[in-house]
Amino acid sequence: MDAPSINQVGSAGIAFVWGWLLVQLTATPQWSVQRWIVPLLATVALLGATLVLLDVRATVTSAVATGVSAVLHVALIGRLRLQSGSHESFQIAGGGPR
Amino acid sequence: MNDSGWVELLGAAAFGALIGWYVYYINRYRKSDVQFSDLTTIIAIIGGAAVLNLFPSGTALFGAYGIGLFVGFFGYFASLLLLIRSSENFNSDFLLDGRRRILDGSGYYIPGDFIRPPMDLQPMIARDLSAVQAQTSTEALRLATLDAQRTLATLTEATHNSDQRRSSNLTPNPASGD
Repeated sequence: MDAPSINQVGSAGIAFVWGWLLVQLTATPQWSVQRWIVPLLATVALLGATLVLLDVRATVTSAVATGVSAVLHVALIGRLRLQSGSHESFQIAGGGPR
Repeated sequence: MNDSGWVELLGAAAFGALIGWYVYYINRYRKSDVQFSDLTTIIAIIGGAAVLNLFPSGTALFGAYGIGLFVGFFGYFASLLLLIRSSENFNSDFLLDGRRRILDGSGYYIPGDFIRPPMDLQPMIARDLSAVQAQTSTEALRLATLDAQRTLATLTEATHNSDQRRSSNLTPNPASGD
């Protein structure tokens, strides 16, 4: 198996960043179609562009990177919440409650 | 494909790192909920036409840009983790909701201009924040009730003592009379 080219690594890097952002962009207090549709379309567009501009291998790598990144982000948040001291009282300075 | 020199590659990677660093910063400190325009902006920044014009996708420059973007984005996150670990005023909660220690050590606070939690999933944090706030208000109410009860007890005792004093003053003293 050939070593990945710099383009494949670069597109995987971009996809990894996109997957990380995807978690925050889609998480809202109320479920909304637009909030899910746009990132989903953007993800498809990103993978499609990788397929057209690069190759299948880069596309697969990017898809895996996006998924792994999103899962890692959710897992990290879950772990932080478990070890969090959020039960301690706090003040919100200079603004009302959120 | 690999006709770019190392200076060009380094430049593309550094440009990507700068963009990645800034994307993390903007996303972390944004002042409101995510808008539709935010999504399109992020998509354009990450892999839009401008970037592809600068670094055509078939060239190694695009790859270097992607690697730089990754390094800059997660470099910000890594430096945040290092700073939190080395400081006594911040802990992992800073990543979730932005709280930090009050400098006199009396507790924690969240700056009021943090409209949304920086990292946590919003439905979870909204639920938890309201739970924490409700718990805080219940505790405050309990303390206020205790205070009021203590004050009432003191007042009752003072009134009782005063009544006793008054009645003892009104009672005639047999020794001092006839």
